[in-house]
Amino acid sequence: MIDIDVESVEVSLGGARILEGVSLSVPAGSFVAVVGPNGAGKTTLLRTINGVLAPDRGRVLLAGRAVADLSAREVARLAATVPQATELAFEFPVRDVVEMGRTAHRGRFERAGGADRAAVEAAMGRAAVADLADRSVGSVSGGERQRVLLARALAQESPALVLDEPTASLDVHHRVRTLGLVADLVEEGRTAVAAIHDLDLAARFCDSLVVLADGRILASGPPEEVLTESVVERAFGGPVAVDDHPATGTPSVTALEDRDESR
Amino acid sequence: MDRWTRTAAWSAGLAALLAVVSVVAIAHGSVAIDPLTVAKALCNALVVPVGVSVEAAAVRLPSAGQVPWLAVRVEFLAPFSFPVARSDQVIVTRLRAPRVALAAVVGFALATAGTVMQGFFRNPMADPSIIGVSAGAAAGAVASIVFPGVVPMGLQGTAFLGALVVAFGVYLIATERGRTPVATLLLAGVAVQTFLGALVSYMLLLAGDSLERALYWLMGHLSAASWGDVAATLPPALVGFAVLAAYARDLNVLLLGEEEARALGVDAERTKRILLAVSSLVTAGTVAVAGVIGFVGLIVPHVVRLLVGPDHRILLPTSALAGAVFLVATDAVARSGPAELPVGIVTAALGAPFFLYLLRKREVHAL
Repeated sequence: MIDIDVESVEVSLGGARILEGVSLSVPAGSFVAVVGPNGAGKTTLLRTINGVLAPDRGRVLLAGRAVADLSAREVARLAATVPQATELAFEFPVRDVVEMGRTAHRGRFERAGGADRAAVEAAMGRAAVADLADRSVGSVSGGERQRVLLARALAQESPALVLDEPTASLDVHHRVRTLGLVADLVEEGRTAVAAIHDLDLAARFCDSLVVLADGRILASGPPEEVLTESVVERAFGGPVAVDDHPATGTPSVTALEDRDESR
Repeated sequence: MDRWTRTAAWSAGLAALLAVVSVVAIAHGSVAIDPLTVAKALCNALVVPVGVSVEAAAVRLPSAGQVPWLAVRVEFLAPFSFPVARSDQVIVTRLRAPRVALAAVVGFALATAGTVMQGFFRNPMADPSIIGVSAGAAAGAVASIVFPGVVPMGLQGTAFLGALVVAFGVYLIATERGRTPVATLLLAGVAVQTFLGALVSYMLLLAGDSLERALYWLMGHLSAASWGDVAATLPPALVGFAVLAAYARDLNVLLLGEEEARALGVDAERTKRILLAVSSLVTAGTVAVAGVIGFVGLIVPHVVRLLVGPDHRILLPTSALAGAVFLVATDAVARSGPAELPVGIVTAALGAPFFLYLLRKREVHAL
């Protein structure tokens, strides 16, 4: 079990300040959602957590070790990333794509061993893509591809998971199933941080929410404390109604039409 | 079929094809020799080391007098001695075999480097010379031909050095704060190639009597190949191939994009440096000897990718062998006309229409 700490991180990309003094900590064995409007800096935050971006200021710690001091291989053994559905317009079989998750565990001249094969098969089973194993990844649907990427991250067997919109291209059922799977993995001891668009789903599956707007953290804490009308309206810049969802009992956000013409 | 079986089967098939095509290419020429005789002559030329003996000896050094020394003597045995006419034996082993062997090595090297560059740049237009290796070699070679007194090194040395200096220069131009974005590298390569093209044109204007020789070099050539050329190009091609093959899995991961590769545990910048340096060396080694032979490194990987798929673990060895087969065959065509053509003309003249056909017929637009 490892925890993730982001300490006053600042990131500028192409001259524009994307993140400003962002600090958050994801305790070991918890599931934290990063929510916020488009362009708030969610993806940038996740890219600093998995070491793809080096922050201009501040630092990120995985299990207490500064990401900046770790090799790509060491970071990959600590945190697995599920990217936003990438194109993957090539003809690799799904199994080979999932096997790429084993990159950080294999030596250059090492052939896939029993542990690798077992991890790949188990990951495909859990992400429900086992029946696609021999299909070309270019030929599967967007939702299936997203689950293939999740399987790849599971095959990585890293204690932390970093997920960027893991449900973006999934249908209603697969959204719930995918987030349920991540919640199960967290239950089993992994630590997860995910950018999630759907506030209701974030509230339902995550232990706490971090609201990011304009590169700053607006609020963080358990969903029922964070998802208030005032916070959500400030973050997203439009009127909303927040209720408890009748079926799940967790906070549910409904965006209302912006009727005030003067705004 | 699992991947290892597939790789082995394809490689064995292509190696066998290479052997057959080579024998036919050697048989073919102004004096036709039947393929069976070629095979016999090649067998006759084959030697295997049968024993190594070490004996005490002494070396006389001017400063220290007699110094004890161990002499290593390797004994070779020619296992075959088929009856072959002496003239045929000479034509096969001294004249034609080195040329065919050089064609095979050059094709092997260019296809290897081309495959790696296409994967590395995630760009179907990439070829071994994309960062200016060939343009650098051409500038070096033409300078050495046109100003023979000024350039202190031989033609091949100058071409090799030119290739490496330009490749490294393009890399440095495209690198900022330890990162080398491939798009920048690509554009820097194109710009430098254009500049060197102008330089070469200008030198050709000044060339006078050496113009013909310079043009001939630029068109790519395998004539006058010697076993020495083969010995100079084979080791770098094989060592380079071995290093690149060890990175086949990383190349696959890099196809996903550099960010994802990094998140999966591949140090993208370091891997890129190694791939770039090794494939540039492999290319430079062949271009320096055989001139600029276009299209092999571009078209062969595409055709092979259609057959075996994009996985570099199978693509790299099969492409390399197919490149060897392709260049041996095109060189045989190049020297079969009434006047011998530079092989570069033939690879482009045969390769380009075939490539266009594939482009229309099937989908050669992706990696």
